[in-house]
Amino acid sequence: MKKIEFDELQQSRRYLYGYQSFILLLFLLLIDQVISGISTVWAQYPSHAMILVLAGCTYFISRCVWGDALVGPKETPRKMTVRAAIIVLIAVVAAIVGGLALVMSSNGRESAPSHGGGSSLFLYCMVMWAVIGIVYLIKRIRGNKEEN
Amino acid sequence: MSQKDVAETVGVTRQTMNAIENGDYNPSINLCIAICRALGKTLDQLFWEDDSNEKNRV
Repeated sequence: MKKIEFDELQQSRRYLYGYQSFILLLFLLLIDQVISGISTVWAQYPSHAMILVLAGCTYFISRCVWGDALVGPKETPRKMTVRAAIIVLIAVVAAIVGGLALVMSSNGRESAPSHGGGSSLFLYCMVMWAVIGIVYLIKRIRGNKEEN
Repeated sequence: MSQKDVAETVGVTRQTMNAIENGDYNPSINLCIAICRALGKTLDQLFWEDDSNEKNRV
């Protein structure tokens, strides 16, 4: 696998965002423990941990996108365009599927997030991609405005 | 030479060059030297601050 090279500012930012994501994950786990301590079940066992990890991942990737630390300086513009198209496409699919899952969930045909299982995890994955896509789009729009 | 050209020559992103120029990021000595070489200037000319140079400007 080809190693992606980042410049020194990108590296320092990635370390910072990684540290922040780790602290965020720790606090989420702590809050989860407190919630579990008062006998409130918001998600079943395997999915609740995965959801917390997804939250940390979402934060890290979104921060990297926002801080221009997702791709290295040697990425060509064509590669960047293809990557942007893929991210936007996945985000659109994620938003559609997530919306459908929400509608189905509200109609009672699908298990609610508190019931755990693959469907709720899938829904949270879609939310994660949608958030990343939205952050990417906003960043691109702002970047284009700054360049003009 | 534009900011983008310097960034490409040095091997950093344009955003990194922008952060250095605005004084938001202090580059390493290696990066400073690479920028000086790309622009054909000395470290003193680019990074030394005195009365004639504005503060935090490359």
